[in-house]
Amino acid sequence: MRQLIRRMNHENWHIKQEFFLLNDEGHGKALYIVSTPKRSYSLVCFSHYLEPNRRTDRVIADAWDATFSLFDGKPCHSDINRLESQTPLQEAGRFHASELVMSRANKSLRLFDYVMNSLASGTQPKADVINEIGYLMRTTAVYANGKFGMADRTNYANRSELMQPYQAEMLTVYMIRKFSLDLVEHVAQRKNCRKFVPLDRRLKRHIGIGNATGLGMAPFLVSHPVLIHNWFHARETALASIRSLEAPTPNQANIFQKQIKQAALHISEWNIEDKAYMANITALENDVRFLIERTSKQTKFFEQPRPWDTLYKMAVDNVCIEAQELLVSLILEPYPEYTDKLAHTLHVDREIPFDPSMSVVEFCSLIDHHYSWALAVNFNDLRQSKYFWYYSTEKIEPRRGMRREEIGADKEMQIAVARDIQSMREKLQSAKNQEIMAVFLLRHPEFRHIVKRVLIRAQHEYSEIQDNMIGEKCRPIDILRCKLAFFGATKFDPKSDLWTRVTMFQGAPLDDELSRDDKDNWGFPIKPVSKCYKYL
Amino acid sequence: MLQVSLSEIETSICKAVSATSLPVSFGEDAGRAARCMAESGIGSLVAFVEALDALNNGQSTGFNTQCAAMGKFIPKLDARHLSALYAGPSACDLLVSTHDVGPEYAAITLENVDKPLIILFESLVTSIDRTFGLHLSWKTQHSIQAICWRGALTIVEGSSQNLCTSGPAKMSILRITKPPTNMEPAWSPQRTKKLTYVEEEVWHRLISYTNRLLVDSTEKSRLTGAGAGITDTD
Repeated sequence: MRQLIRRMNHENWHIKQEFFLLNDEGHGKALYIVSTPKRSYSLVCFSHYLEPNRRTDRVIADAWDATFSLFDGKPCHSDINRLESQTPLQEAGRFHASELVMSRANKSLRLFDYVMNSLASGTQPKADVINEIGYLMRTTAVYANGKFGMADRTNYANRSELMQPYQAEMLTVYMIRKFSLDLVEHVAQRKNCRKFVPLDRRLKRHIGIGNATGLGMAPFLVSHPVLIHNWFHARETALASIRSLEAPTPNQANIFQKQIKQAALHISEWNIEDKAYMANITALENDVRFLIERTSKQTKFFEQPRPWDTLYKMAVDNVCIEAQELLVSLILEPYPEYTDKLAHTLHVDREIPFDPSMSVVEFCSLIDHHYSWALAVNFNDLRQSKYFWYYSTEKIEPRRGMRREEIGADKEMQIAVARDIQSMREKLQSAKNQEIMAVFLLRHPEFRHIVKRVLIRAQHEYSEIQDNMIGEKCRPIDILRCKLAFFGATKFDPKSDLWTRVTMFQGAPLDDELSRDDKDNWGFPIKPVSKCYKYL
Repeated sequence: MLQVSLSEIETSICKAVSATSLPVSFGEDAGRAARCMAESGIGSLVAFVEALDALNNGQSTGFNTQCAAMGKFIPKLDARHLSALYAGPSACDLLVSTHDVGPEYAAITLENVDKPLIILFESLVTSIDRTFGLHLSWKTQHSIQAICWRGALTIVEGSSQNLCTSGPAKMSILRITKPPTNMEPAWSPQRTKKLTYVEEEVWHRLISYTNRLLVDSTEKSRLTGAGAGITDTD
């Protein structure tokens, strides 16, 4: 998300509301044009009446408060008419290569109505209430890359503005945020145009866009090992470079000290219903306080040699994993030159050629070296194979079922890496040591996808999620959170082990603020009028 | 005609092949080959759908593994065709394996292949990012010779239309170390088609295979799925 905002700033993108044809209730259509230096994109929006009992985050929903298409260029009337008939159908519609992204969103009724009624009565909504929810609308799916007939990513992957992964999707989500802000003001004004006041800019900026994410993301990460390697490798490369630095400049140390205090305040404003995750947040807050104290100006922490390395090691020894991960992000903050130059390594531009010419004995040593975590799982224990993953007839989305209680295990998705590694390792025991893997696979083609994985892993150290995807203890929510964290999502709000809500673009510059100098200072959004935090 | 994306072609073929009980990685290779074929504008998805039909109704089958290990792919059952979807990935695996032990796989033969076009495009995908190329030849009504070199397809003998002629056919594939000279490729990745159209009837036949992978919802799955039971009133 921040990568997109930085680009919008550097390249002086402009966003124009082309039309906003909505009735008093906010139903109708709207069009926004995003002008970049080389081309334009358009968000085509359709806002609908939705029966309250049909409002659900679930992917199986078939109606939403609003539906969207990101169009490549400026749509003509016939394009808009076509999209008006297809976009509201979402997965049931058919799209053209002129459409890059399709999405939908539902209102957070509680916040939407509250903000709308406040504005209509001439008062500003309370920051606390806005902060509690964080968004007026929540997307429940964002589709791209050729789904339902839309443009393949290869059609636009060579465009600088969309080259990095998920930039088209992020642009769509950012634009939906703008639509939601325009929508609430529109409805409030129509409700009472005499008393109506526009939403305070600082409050507006603190309203992000929600997202509900479910299981589908988990199999995606398993089946894209090179992509996830690239993401983690970029992060670890930047971290390693910074840890090796002898000393930060005073300005860099200041940035860190300021950001960690803002992060602490951000965490203190992060409240969720889930008790277990709330306990994690509390522990995180305490640990961040510990890190603030250890790195405050009075301690002269940054005057010692290689302070970033010392800080990192101190965190590993003293704070929870959540705080360690947060610290890594904070250490990267003062060094955009280290992270930005890695941006081009995030995407995957080609398949890794498959070469099964390795001998069985060499291949076994690779497995033993890289997959000890998989070989350690005891599959005689039925709990380790409690689940299976499958595509559901409803919306053709991945789901997880209980192997011994539900139908469909015979149609299982092939993402049980640990189990398949073990099975293959056992079969390899009876193969000749010097036989090449290509010949082994003639007899056992069922393991060919696993051989590919092992060979990818041999060259990509962050390519495997080292967990048993079918085991009782596997928590898909952690996998979802991993991917969403790379997007820059905040305020994780898990609803079970299977799905979460998050907030995106909270604190991000509004479209008319994109040229501001502080365009990048929103990583840890805090309430506009916040209590005085003792560490600030 | 239905406009479909390359991604839809790739994933649908992949799922359809997996749904006919072939290994998932065979599906992945077939999906990439189908995508490449669609990008090239040569051939038709009909070849893939007919190959799926042939596997499904038992006309085509897998290969004898012992003979395959010697570089000769023959159907494992008499009076059956050799399934290109089944044999193509394994033949390519042998061809790309460079090694200093065991038999040399610089040349592979495949008997009675049901859809040579599929193996051609699997070979074409295999040739991307390699230091060698693959020379394929077969004969049905026409003699065909084609070279796959770093993702570019050169037709040495025959024409693009001839490539689409259905099998069965005996195919030979040779690993070669020099690119074709003085010949314009029939297709190279720089000339990718942006729009792909498929006959609706063909697409629906394909989707009928992918649908076999789907699991119907049950009362239990509805109750235990992500977000079950929640109507959003927040």
